[in-house]
Amino acid sequence: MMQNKTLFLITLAGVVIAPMVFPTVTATDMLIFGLVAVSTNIMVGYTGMLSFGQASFFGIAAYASGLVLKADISVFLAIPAGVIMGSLAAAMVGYFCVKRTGLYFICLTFAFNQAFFFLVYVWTDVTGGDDGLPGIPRPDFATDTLSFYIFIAVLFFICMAAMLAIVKSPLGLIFRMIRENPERAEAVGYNVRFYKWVSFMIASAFTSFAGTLFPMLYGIVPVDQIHWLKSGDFIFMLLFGGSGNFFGPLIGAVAYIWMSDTFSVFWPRWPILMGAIFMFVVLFMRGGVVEMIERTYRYFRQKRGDAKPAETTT
Amino acid sequence: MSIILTCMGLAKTYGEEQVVRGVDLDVRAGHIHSVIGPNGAGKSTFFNLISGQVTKTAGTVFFKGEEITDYTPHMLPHIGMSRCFQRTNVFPELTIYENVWGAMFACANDGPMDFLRRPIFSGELKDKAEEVVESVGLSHKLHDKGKTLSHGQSRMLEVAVTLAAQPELVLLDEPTQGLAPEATHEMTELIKRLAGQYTILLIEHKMHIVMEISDVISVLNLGQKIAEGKPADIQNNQMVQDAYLGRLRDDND
Repeated sequence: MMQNKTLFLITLAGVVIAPMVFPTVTATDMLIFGLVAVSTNIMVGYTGMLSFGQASFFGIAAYASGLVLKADISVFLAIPAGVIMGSLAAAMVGYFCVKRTGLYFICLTFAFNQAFFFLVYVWTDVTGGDDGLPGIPRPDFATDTLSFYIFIAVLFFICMAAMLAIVKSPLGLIFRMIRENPERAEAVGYNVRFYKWVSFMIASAFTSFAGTLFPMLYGIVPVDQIHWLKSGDFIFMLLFGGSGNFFGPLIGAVAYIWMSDTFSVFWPRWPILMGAIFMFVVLFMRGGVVEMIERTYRYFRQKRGDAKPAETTT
Repeated sequence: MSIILTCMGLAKTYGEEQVVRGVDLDVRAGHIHSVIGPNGAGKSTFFNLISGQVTKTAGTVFFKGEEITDYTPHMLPHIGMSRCFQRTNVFPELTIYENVWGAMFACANDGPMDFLRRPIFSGELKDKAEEVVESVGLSHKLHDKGKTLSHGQSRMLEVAVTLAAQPELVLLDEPTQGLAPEATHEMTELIKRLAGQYTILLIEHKMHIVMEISDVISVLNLGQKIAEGKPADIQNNQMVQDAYLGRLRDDND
């Protein structure tokens, strides 16, 4: 299969083309949630920890960054502030969650997410509660949609490069060892719980980063950005795209944003469609779109009769 | 020779059932020390007690003079003790190279940020990892995934992953289990080669191998150590024959 370099260039091309194909705001949305999906995959796909609570950190970072921006302080303080708040929350939540595995882990992440949601919901003085946090300005140098898109695109690539470097480092290998066989990873000398915690924090830190960008896009943090349903959307994105590949979740994020933008206009019940697609993916396409592409590719190669069976990528 | 591992009164009780009942064991540095006994004698549990996979009901363990009774499994490779498992237990979706390199890196990790900086496919660890893969005869499979190996090759990889930590003491839990005669022979030869470099604590069912390669044999029965000594002494020990050897000869050999 293709090398990461090639895939990175394809992504670059996609980011350049996206504002011509989609409305610029939609394309920006895709970049932000693309980051969320890829970062969540570090934990779900690479380390094998399914979290239904990533919206906590996305939301906390969004509120923190929104509040800083509203106070008219530089965006270059708003982003670190949001990332730090989101990561601190993740360090705390992660510390408790990694003590459990499997179903109990999922339930814990979910429970913490609910707790954060209600905290935001009732703390109306600061967060605006049900009405959300409105009136958030974009940075001075990126007030129109296109220059804002370019600003987000630059940050997007910095994050993607950083995450790819992590996944390709020994740390990424440790994550995969833990996913494959936690007992053996422990026996060869890794403190599995500690590394799970690291994975949790790295994934959540990048999710927080994406969260800090969100308020600038629409000028508001709606309360549903921290709702656990949002966490479910993140999982949908990465499973739809394919959790076995670093770039796969991007496809899921683009598809999800496109669908929600297109169908929600004329069909308020469009999540039914999402549900149907989700069922299809889980039942027939475990590796997501990436696997579908690989299978098609293999099928045609074998049909041409020139190929030994293709290897799957990690 | 000095004693590298000391177990005193190791015991494990599950509810009413006493699986291991106060076993004392000394392993001398440089020896191949075999633990034998009929099925259900508590051999694997005894291993799990030493390596911390199972919590101890009673007893203490010393390794190189240091008490390690309460160590958790991930701490042991760092002080020089590494184990393999009875059921093949490697990383199926990783390549052979990644299996071994990953295991090696656990103990070579140097400084808090090393796990982000160290290159995986170059440098000193690469040579060492390839050396270990070669020593178990899997070089031709270096970049194939673990799940593509045959059972015999998986057992070899199991040993390679165990050796990757560069331990002083190796715990091998039935390395020849389920192997065809040819592969069993290869594994035996491998263990003999390892004997020069490592101290080996071995659980093994195949009697001719145990008798051939061991320096010392301890016999467990019903969770207790009933005999210990050189292979010749064990073969002639009446209690051992009653408990184990006679029966086994009829069964397998």
